[in-house]
Amino acid sequence: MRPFTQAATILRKDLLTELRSGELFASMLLFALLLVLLFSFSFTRGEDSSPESAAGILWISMTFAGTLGLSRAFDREREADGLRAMLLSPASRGAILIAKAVGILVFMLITAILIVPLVALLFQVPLVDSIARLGILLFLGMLGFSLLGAFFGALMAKGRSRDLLFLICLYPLSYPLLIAGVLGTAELFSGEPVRARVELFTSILVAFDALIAVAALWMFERLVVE
Amino acid sequence: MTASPIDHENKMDQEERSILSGGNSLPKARLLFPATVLTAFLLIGLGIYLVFYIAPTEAVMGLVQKIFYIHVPAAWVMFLALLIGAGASVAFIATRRDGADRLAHSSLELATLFGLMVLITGPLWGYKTWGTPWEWDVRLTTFLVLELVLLAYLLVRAFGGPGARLLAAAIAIFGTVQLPIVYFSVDLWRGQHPTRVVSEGGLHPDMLLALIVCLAGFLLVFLVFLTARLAIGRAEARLDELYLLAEDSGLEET
Repeated sequence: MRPFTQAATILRKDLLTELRSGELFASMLLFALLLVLLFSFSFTRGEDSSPESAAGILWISMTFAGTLGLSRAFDREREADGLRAMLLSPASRGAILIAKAVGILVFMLITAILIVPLVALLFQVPLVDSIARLGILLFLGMLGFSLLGAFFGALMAKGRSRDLLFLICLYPLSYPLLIAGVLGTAELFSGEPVRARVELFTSILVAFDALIAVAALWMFERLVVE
Repeated sequence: MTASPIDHENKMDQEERSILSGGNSLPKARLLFPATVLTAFLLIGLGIYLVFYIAPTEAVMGLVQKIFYIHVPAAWVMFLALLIGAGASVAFIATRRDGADRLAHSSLELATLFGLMVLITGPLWGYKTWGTPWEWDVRLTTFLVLELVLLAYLLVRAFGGPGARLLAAAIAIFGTVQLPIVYFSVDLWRGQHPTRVVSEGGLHPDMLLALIVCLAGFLLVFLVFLTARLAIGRAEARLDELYLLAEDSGLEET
């Protein structure tokens, strides 16, 4: 099998498992919902709803929900020793990493589809014109985040004090993604976005994603040892 | 003539002793380290003299600008340490040699230290000139993130248990590949932090001299620390080996 087919097979397995239980997706969505409501209450309470805080709240909620999904996804693999099975199978390491990352990315994007309108409603953000650009920003940001998350999640599947270290690794490394995403989104939410600035942050995200993908694929081959 | 087992043991003994005493036992090499320490001291002393007596006081910022001579060299040495650490991490992942890992660990520990220096001197300077100690300017923010990545590296090394060395190396590499974007993002997205003043020649010659001497001093301090840290790392590794040897041969401690 080619790496692409291998990745598609693993991804199909993950999505099927999730379709049968719905556990991961339901908890991610509820968590993101709770976070959006909690943040918007504690930061703005309806008055003075600046586009900056709306953008920040959207991205932080997405990131936290993604973290929840990531740790649950790897818990699931650990319970059934699925990761070892995948590593023993002829699938290439890169394919496993990509499949895991894309799986989380799919869940995060579905969560985003439901969360973005809520944020737009709560903060009365003009969304109609900028929805495509926002989608691109979110896609790129979440892509980098899920690549990093899948990388460290797979490597830490059975280390000591893994939950703690997972967060300590993941958050500082995804900080640049978050900054570019938040700034680009704030620009879009401001009502009259400057096109060049949105494009700048989009291209910064593309650059980060490319660097993360190359580094992650190079290292994953060498680091995952059974 | 065949070497008797006793000869062999003596050789081992000598090797062990030379490792434990901090490396090379040649007299020349033994002098090199104290000489470097002394030069570093002298250079830092000369630097302080140049900064306060020779370099002119800056017109707008006054005395506070003297922080520049610590802030900038510390930042440069931090980046150097980071690059060495990242390079060694790549080498460690590619070859799995313990030496590369020790170099990465020592170097990144020092990068954290010099980074802290930058983060302490920066706000002091900023408070006086910008009127605020911290600004969410792109360069400040990304520098802070870099420091957090380094702290994450050290935490993972300290608490990660077996296998954490490789994981930590991955963190160092991810953190460093983001660096070029950080550096050039200042041009793309103007912030309050001055852009490359030094490389564009906007500096009084006496200021430049003081800066260069300070930079040389900082570099030597870095070298001294790195050498010492590497020697400690080697001694630790050797000690672990000896413990294992002792256990294997039934000399377990009671």
